[in-house]
Amino acid sequence: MLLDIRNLHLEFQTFDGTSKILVGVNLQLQRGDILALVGETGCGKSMTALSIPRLISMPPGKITQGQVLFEGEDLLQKPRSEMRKFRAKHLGMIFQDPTTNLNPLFTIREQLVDAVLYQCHAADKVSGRWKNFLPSARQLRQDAHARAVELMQLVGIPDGKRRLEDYPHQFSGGMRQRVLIAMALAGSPDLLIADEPTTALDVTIQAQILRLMADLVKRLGLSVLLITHNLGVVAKTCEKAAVMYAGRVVEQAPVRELFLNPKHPYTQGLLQAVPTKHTNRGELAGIPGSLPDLANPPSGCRFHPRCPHATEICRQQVPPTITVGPEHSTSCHLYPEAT
Amino acid sequence: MSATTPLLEVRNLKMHFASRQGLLRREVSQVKAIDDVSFSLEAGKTLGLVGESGSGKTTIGKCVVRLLEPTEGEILFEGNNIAHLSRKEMQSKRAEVQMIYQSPAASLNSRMTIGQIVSEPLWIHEGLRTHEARHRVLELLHTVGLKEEHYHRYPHEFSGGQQQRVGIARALALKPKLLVLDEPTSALDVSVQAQVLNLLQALQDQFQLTYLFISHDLGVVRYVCDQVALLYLGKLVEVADVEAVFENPKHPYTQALISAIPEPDPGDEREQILLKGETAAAKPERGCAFAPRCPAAKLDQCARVEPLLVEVEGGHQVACHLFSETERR
Repeated sequence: MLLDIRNLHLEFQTFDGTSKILVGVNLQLQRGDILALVGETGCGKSMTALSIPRLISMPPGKITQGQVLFEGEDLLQKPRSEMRKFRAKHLGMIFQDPTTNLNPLFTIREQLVDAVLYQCHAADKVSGRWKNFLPSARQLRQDAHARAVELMQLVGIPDGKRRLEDYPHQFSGGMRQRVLIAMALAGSPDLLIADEPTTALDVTIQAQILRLMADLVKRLGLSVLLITHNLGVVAKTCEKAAVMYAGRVVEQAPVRELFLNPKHPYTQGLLQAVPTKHTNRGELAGIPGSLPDLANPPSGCRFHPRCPHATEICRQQVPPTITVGPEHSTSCHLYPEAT
Repeated sequence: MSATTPLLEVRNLKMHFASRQGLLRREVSQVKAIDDVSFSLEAGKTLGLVGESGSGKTTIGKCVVRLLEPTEGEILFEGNNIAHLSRKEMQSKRAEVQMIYQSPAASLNSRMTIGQIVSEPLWIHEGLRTHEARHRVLELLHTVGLKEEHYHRYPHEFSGGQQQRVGIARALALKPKLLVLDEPTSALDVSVQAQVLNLLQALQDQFQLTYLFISHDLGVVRYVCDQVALLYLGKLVEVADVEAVFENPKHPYTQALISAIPEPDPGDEREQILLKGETAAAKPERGCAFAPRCPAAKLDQCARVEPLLVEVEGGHQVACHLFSETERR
């Protein structure tokens, strides 16, 4: 088990009171897998992902309970200085908008070499400004440059050596995302967290980037946590998926099982809300209502006001997470707890 | 095709933007956002305008509602050319052609209440004060699934889906015949998107509306549209009925685009056609705009001659040398 998030609770202090953003998130990711984290706006999928590298500012955020185990080690207990080294060595992250994550004033070479230096060496070797002038630092820079060229090739940027000298605006959206993937991979991380990596891209470019990610997983033995709201992307790229609703993982299963045999009413609704080639006019089913206000969430199961099967118990008790099949778990009162 | 005049007919539409530089704002180059686009749309139907970013689909929408004056070409609305009408002349037509925008939050004035927003077109076109229009506004809110209590609220109090409903109510206020929907659901979550799409279909049946549906989401287009027109760098590459496009795509670009839609079905084993390069790459000077990325481009015409949009089967038009018998010889 590479990553095991157990019973994670996250709160935010807002003017309207305390918002309970995550209420008991459980998530498991095996080494070499691509796990999709699916959900709609505000369901907490990005917050779950940001809790892993501890990138949530506290305050206003506060983790009240839970563990984030990375190879058995609880990241939430690590001191800050160690956490920096840990991020550099083991984690890579890419985000939705590749443009805002690149500095427009520096060439790709400067940014990529920086990333390589920091992730491969800086965390333990180069510290203090004066060391930049030592001959060994020069050697480091040269090595880093060679590594940068290698990374550009790895992510499929043609003519990478020359393009290192270009500025971000000279790249198209898809190419910028490739550059960011290269940066994330600089330190050969174990886990790549991809937060909506293709949402800002056109479909043909999206297909290229997804193909690249799947390829990298195979070649580098990477594990990926892919955050997305696009169920098509999940079906195409991932082996396992976790569906989140209002701060909880409501269902987790292998992708094929999840699509063919969804258990939780929210998952079922979500799957029916996407028009496919078999959907006839007027047959598209949405989920009535909208996401709850997390400062003042519904009692019991947070989905009950929108759920077609809601009963009295749903209003009162939070459903436990139960296993309904091989590697398939859900939290819903509809399914009896296995004894 | 029936003999009746279509509600909307666009003929040889061109929209070129000048790129200016220097103190004298001299024209240094032209961006051909739309280049010779023709299509027609019959009353009561939905035409999907599909393309990737930069293909010119929104520009066409803006020309149709005349937020832009096209450089050349005709836009026939009920047989009358509205392409070059003056602001004044256009005003009376505006009631019949309305637009719904992509970002519901940005298209509503945050300082006005819902009642004021929805009644504003009634004030402009019929001179009705907000309180005089109240009854009609409430009726409109009801039609789009909002409640009476929403009348005095402000846009920020609503969710994205509800804001889009307000935008729809405002567009319907003047009983238009044609609605230009510019990516109406791309800012919404899937569960809410389904609600809005269903609402749009119900309204179409109720008021016999005609939709020009601009979208990049082919799944949604397949669900909503009767006909599809595909754009690539400002040119139409394929126009056909929705089934024909999805079941039997002709143009290599259409084929690649359709194969690139990730279907929410893990059993889907279609082979994906991966396109090389990206759309943003400069358009070639001559020949087919898609030729540099085209997996099928091998005819030497592709690099030299621009393919014309020709009909290959009943109502199925394609602009590709692979299909133009006359030019292949």
